Amino acid sequence: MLPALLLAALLQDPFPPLPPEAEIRVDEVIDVELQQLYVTVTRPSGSAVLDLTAADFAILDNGEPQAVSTFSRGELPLSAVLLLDASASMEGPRLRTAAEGVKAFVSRVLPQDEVSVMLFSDELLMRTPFSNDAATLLTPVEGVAARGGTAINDHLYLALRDLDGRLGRRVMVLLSDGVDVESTLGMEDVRWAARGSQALLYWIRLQETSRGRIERSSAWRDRNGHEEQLRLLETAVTESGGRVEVIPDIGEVGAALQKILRELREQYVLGYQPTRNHGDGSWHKLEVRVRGGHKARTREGYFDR
Amino acid sequence: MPRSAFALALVLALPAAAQPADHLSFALQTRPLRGLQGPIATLLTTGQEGGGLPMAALAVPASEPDEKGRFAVPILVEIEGNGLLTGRRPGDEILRVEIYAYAMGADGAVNDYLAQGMSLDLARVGEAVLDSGIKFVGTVDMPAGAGSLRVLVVDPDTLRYSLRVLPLTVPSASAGPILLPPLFSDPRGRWVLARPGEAAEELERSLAPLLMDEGWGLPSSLPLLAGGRTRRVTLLGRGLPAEPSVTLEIRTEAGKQVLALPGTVIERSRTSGLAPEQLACDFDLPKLETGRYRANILVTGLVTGGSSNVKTPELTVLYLSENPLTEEPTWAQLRRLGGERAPPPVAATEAPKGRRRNAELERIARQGYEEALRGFASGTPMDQVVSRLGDMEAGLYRQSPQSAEALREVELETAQRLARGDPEVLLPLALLHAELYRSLRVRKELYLAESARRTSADLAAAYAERGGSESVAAQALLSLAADLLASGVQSASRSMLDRALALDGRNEAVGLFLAASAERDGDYPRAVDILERLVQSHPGSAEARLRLGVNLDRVGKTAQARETLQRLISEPVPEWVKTVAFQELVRLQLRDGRQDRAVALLRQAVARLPNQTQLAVQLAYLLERQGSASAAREVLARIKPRPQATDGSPRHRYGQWPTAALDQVRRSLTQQSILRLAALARALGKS
Repeated sequence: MLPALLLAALLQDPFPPLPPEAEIRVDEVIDVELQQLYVTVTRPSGSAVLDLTAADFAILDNGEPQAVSTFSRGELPLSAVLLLDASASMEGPRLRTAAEGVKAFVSRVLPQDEVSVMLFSDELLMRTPFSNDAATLLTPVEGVAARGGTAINDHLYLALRDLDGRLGRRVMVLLSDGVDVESTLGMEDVRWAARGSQALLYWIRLQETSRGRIERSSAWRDRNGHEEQLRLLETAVTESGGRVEVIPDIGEVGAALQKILRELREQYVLGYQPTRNHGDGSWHKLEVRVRGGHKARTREGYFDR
Repeated sequence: MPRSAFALALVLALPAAAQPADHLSFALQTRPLRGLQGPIATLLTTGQEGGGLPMAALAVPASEPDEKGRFAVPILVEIEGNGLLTGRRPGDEILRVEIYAYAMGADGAVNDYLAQGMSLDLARVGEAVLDSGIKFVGTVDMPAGAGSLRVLVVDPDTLRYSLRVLPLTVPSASAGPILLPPLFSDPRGRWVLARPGEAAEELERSLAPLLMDEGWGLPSSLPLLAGGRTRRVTLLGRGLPAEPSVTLEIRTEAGKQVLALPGTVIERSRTSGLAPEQLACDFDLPKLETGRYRANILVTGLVTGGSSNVKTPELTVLYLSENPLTEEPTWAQLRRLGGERAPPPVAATEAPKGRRRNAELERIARQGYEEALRGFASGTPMDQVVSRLGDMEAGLYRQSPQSAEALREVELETAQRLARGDPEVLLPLALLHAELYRSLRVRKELYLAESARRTSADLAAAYAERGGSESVAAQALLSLAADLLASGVQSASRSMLDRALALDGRNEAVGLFLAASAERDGDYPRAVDILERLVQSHPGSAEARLRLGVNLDRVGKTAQARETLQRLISEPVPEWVKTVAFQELVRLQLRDGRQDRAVALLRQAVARLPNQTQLAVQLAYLLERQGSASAAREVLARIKPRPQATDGSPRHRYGQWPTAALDQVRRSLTQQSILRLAALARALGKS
């Protein structure tokens, strides 16, 4: 693999003066790929801590301390996919209410941010291009009627792949009650894909119709199977550095989305160059510690690819 | 610790049409109870058993005390739905129920109590409640020793109630040998289950002694035993003999022993060192006169130092002389057999007084019914006839809720009279009442709807019994059963489907519905059994073959599953069937670790079925796993959204009730009904 920085250096000047008959040789591949961590820091009360410096953070990669090489807070552009469950349970005003929430979210993103809205049931119903223009993002939603079943896993995977190659912080926000019935992929497959991406996953979990306990089997999974899928979804969200926001009523979608947006704005972005990467596909466990007894939340690891 | 808490009700059987299949439970409005007032306090204080609400209760103490030395006692309360809903005002949307349980010591002191109120949305769960009832579970704490539980259920709107007193001995942790009350399993998924809104894990822990079947099931508080059946009973105990013998002892309510039946210990287990031992026993039940009895299990055998002889506490059971061949819950069986009459309904407005008034109501009902039938026979559209009948029934019911049963009797009598000359007239009448059921449901006339549903099923059965086409009768029952399944009414619908299958074992749609129903219950062996027979009689049924392929793998017959699915992908079958067959074959390949073959199969599938998004997603994922990220991106780039309505994804379609066959059945039934209207007109002319 050509080291990213070397490539960048080569491309910096479009017409570098080359010595005659020069031969470029690479004696050693130096992996200088930057790992970026989005870190939410909170006090025990839950309020955000906003006045930290790079010196206040310690990064442990597989237990080994790492030097923080880049540091900022909140201003990195966002690329977000809002993945809305539009299955039959969202029929009528519920989908419109969710769309209103999306509208409020979109109205607050910054000019450098980009958002894509994806509606799904057991099929992909609608997908907008990445944009920060409210009309581009919301007009197509109006033409879709909620229908059908729920295939969360398949569409989470699609959303993650849509985020591939987008600039800035990649964020995926799922709005659903979380019970997948008809996906062809299992949540363990999605978790693998999520671990390989640097996307932050948030799940706005509608709990007005579900207590989080599955009481019945479906044609595709028994009760234990459904519970396992739910558990894995929670795990995937948590280990990405995101979180589950439980809302009791669809009317609270807008507030939940804004809370997530505020949290993203308040995040610290730490960059470091891992000292022991071999590109062997192994899982690296990450930990971020903060001075002052504050709680830091970030993704739990990454694949060394 | 007194408990006065919010209740949360979870519905095990939800309307598939009204609710998407993935909504498996929902909360209902709840409210706290502050304690006892007036007559309720008096009732509980006297401890006088009685009341009109059909209710039964069961309590099983935990085996280990808490840090204060008290034992959690989970309580199961079953309230029969029909009796609970009798007399509700038409259009009532909320059903309120209050449950009190008082744990009394031998000295009469109250050790603990539970006071729970709940409100059920009748539009959403009314039919399921009506079909079976409410199963409530909660816990109280008690010290070791003898005592009792006073369980009171009250309908605060009508002030109907029921009080039961359960003698209860909580054995200390060191006591032994000991047996707790026997647990008779109950068909699962057929009750509306209500429980306190505690955290699920905490609740599961406190209810542990009551949970059966790996936490899936709750026992029955009024077990049903039937001659000719094998009944599984779970015994919980301590200090039991190494090689126990088990005997089911049955006594009449007066105390005379009528049966001492040896059983077989199937399994002996213990979940942890301190937990009680569990003995799973089977009893092959002989015939016994139908009725209520008292039952206990005697466990005997040798223990260190001699022989042991220990009995479970007694439990009331219902014994049916014959195997009823259905899996209906006890209360539904009771109702069907007429063994437990619902209490008289409470008048909503002006209560009818005397026979004269009832006779007058019956006359109006008969006249109105016959007039509606004349319109029907002379070509008035079905919806208009149904609307008229619905208006009449609702009007009479408003005058007197007692008229519901009278109306049903009038209608059945009239139908039987009209069918004397020609039983064919029963078919259009069965269909008319099925339509009336649908209409009354929409109008939220719950009680009348159930009455119409029962009438329709009775007329269809009568049609077959009196020489009508069994195949057509089976279709009528299927049509009605499908409606019930869509409303979450499971036990009645399955009984109807069983009945339909008995009438016409070759009916494809009936077989598909029963198999789909077994799948949803996780009863894969039964699904396979039904589907194997179905495929034999309908080798061309692609859906039956697909479901068979899927379920064969679930019961471990993977080679047969693979063969069945393989055939489907190479034959001209509907696209959704082929897609699912491909997906399942891929899953089998992946399970065998053959990723390359799975990818090859998916490439073939995507080429042949380019519109099937899920195949593309599956292929992209596998390509990515193989390290071909760019190939994966290429596949994903071809996926296009589908904003307009479609038939849904193949996997969604598989998870739905098999309505394609049903639509055909309904069309055929409508035609058959029209053909018989002339016979109905003739019968009306003669009457």
